[in-house]
Amino acid sequence: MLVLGDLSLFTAFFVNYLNDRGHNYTEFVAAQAKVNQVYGLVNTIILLCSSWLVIAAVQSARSERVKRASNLLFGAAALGVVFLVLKILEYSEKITVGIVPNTNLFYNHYFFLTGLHFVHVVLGVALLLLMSQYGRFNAPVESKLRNLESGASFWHLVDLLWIALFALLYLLP
Amino acid sequence: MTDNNTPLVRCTIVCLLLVLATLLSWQLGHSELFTNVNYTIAVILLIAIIKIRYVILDFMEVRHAPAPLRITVELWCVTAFSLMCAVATGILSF
Repeated sequence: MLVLGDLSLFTAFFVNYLNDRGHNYTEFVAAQAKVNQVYGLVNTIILLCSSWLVIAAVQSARSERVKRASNLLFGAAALGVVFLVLKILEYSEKITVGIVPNTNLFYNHYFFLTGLHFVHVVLGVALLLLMSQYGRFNAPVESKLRNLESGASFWHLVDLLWIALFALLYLLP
Repeated sequence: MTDNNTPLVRCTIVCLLLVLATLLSWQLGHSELFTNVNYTIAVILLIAIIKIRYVILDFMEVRHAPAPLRITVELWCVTAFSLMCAVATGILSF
């Protein structure tokens, strides 16, 4: 339910962004030209690899390979941290040249959408680190697995939101 | 949940295809394959929504979920793509 709710909310934000883009097309395309697409591309691949590690971790947990699952989840969290570091670098490059959220409407959307996603990544990394310790929790195996699967779904949501943001903010001509 | 598990091999293949699709849409964003920019916009959005659909179906294991959830996801994919495409290409405006 949380995933579907979040997805619906972001869909509304995406449509709002595209609507403003349509009304201010020339301004948006000019502003978008200053976005470093390499960051977007690398971050997309980082999150996809991270998602794969989470899938492998859940499969390992199901076959009771606790240590392997923990290591995979820790690896996924580490990739999440790499994503955050790259995002901070990208933000600092923008701010250094005087591009901030109120520079224009495009960057207003850009900082809002990527900022909201940034918060999701921070929460996701914290969740993954917590999940990597699941073997130590004193709870029935079925319950621990269910929690792992829910956490994994949240991380995949973070991944799919970035897929949409990459297309909308970095790639659209 | 065990019956619904998506095998790791399938997820690995899907993950590799998603990376390839990312590179394809990156290339599309830089090419002038279509003379009409709206076609490029539509194709980039279509690739994005297909990627998202595979993440939901295979990574989130919704492919073998109960019908109402699966149908909701499929409907969301169609609606989100149609709406975003219509607004991005100027067919629909608020």
